[in-house]
Amino acid sequence: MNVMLNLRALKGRAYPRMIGAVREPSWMFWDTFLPILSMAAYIYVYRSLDAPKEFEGFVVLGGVMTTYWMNVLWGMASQLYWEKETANLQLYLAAPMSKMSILAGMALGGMFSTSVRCISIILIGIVIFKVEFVVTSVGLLLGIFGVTLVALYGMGMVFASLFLMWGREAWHLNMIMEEPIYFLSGYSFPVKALGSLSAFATVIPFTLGLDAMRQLTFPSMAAQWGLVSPHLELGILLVMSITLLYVARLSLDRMERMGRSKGTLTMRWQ
Amino acid sequence: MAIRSSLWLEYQIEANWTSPVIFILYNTLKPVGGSLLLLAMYYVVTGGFLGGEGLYFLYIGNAFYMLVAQTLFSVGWIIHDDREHYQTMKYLYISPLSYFTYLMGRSAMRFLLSLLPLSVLIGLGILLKIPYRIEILLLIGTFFLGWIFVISAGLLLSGVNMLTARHGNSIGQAFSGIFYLFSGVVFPIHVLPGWASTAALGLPSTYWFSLVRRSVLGKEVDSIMSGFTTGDVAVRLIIISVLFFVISYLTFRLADYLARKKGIIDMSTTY
Repeated sequence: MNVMLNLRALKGRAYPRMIGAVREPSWMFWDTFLPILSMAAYIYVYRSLDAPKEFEGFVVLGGVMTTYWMNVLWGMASQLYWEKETANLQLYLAAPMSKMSILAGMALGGMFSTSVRCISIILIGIVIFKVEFVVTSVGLLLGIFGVTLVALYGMGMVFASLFLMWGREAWHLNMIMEEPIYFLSGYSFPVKALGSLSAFATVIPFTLGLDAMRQLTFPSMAAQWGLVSPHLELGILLVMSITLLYVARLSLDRMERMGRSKGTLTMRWQ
Repeated sequence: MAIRSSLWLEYQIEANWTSPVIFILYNTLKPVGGSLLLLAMYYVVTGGFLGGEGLYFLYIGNAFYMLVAQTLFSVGWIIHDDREHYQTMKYLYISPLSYFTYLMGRSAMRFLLSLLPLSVLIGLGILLKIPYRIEILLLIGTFFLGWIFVISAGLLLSGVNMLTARHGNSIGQAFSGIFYLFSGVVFPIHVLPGWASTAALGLPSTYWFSLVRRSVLGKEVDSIMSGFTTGDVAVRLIIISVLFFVISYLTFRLADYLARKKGIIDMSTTY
């Protein structure tokens, strides 16, 4: 494998997303400011119910992780389908680098703008809503956050291949993976409240990542609302990351083979 | 004729990718997921699902908010879809129909399609023992006024989209967050800071959600909004909606002019 070629491809695909963020600052308003409003509404719901202050912090952390989930859905999962629709996909497939480096470039570029949004969410949580994070282990927190992102974007890469095999169904599938997944993953509430349903929810990487991060930043709630120990959650997330990246590679190859044999790689607007 | 064609087109785009049964399921899952999320929040605080004005308030508000969110999600995507996905915007511009009429038709169909999940949520509310006291005439009027307010918001959003790049796909959803936060959808507006409560009284959506509660629950539990009579709320909603529509229409026309002047009606941004 030509490592330099793949690194160049990765940089090449990440570049338009990063430069696009600078050239078209409108995303700051649409992708950063406005989505925070919905999150703020959940905080006010807790205030209207006189909930413990920690729940407001849960919403802030949930807002951070769902931001990445949204980026995975719209910036990764549906992106190859979008590239096919705009006739870029055939160029990617004709070029000599690994397709994984294209997906990794998308992920890195997407993480850039998403991370700006996440920092804004955390700052708003601290400054405006006076959320107090009590971090018990910075190393473990950063480790869990990093591994969760790898697992999450790995899942996005798997979806990207699957969505490419479908047509407009993929687009609509993305939409039903918003609110129902927010509910299953405990975006604005501790997922333990779902009881046995929470076991299914752990299939989505950010459920475990979010639960672990909540335990590490709001230790007073960990005993009552923590699902399992953060160390165990880290271990599961590590296994998920490796598995998802491997499955992503397999499904990408399979998708490409199927597309080539059926001649669907250049079909648009189906 | 143009309206009928755009109504038909919106239905085809939204629904013809699958069977009617799956479409109904798909159309319902998202709003139900949103409601379950709020119910779970209510549960972790109160320890139960039944009873309480707070529960009725947030459940009904959220159910009707889905009309706003789903319509704006769809309308917020139309410009980018036509311009960059199907690349048909320039053809629509040179066809004999007005793009404004086309947008009206598509938003009307999306609004109609969103009534289905709303009725499912209203039905599920019976399981939660929501004390419905539906006033049919008021509810019909509320739907009509709601449609005016939602298409105005959609028009404003479309105008902005004419001039901006495609970065994500949930612009409409993000835009509807303004109404979710500032209109007393899932919590009373007195919970907001003072300046935000005052700003809320300038939004048509605040009065619309108040009318929704009055027509479905037979009362208004928000301490600020209960200071207005139903007639007051309706009159204010009509006046603010008309103003909002005029502002949105003018913004759309300006954006339409600028987009054509800058030559970006066929812009493609593949970020």
